[in-house]
Amino acid sequence: MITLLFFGRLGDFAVGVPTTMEASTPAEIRTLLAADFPALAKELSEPQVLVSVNKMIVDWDQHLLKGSEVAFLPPVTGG
Amino acid sequence: MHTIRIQTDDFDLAQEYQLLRELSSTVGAVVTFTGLVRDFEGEDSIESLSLEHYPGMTENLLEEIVGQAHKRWSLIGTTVIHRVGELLPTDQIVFVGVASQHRADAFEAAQFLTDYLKSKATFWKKVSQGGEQQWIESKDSDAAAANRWDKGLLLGDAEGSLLRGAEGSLLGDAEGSLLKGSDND
Repeated sequence: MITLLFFGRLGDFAVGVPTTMEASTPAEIRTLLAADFPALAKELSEPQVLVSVNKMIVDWDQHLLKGSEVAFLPPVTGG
Repeated sequence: MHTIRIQTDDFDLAQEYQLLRELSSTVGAVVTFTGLVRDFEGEDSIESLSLEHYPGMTENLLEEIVGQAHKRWSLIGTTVIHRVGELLPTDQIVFVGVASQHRADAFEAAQFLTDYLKSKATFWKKVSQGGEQQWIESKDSDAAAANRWDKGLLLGDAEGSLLRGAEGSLLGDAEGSLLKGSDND
């Protein structure tokens, strides 16, 4: 199973989204979410949104290993 | 020597300064930056600010940023403190302190650290305005402030520049970088 995390404004679009799912890439997660959560999937398609696996920024076609933590990160606004 | 803290509690500027000052008798300069919560966002006043972060990843990114500063400049000590949770206007939100032998290293490293943590570290701000909450949008100017360090624009990009990016750095645009910008994708 892959654990899913959504930060910042993405969290508002991810209400009711399962916290785990089976998928082989972050891009596939986005595709799978589009069926039930089209607004979230649209947000995830914004070019500024980054994806991390186990707290490392990766490409959307990164192969996911079982037990990975995938986080979706909108542009940061700290400081 | 460096300290990184992410905390809900406030921090004491005088105490943090003193800790940097006392690191070594070779310290000749301490530069500190303190960021505060403004009471406005856009044209409207705000009631409060909420800060979210990605525990674990934020610390990793800050370690990378601070490590990069220590490689680029001759530093004796650095402190980065970032608060999270609920904050009110005028509250302290972020502290960057740098101790070095000479002022140029401390000034430049403090600005680098502040620019980088603003545009690279996994924090997200939400403000409460008129009883409604909304996420703050990132600013192009913040990304530009960080990018100029990559490009060596501040002190020229001549060979041997203090600001030249380190080879294979996680802060550069190498494959697998923690801090890779979205425009590389």
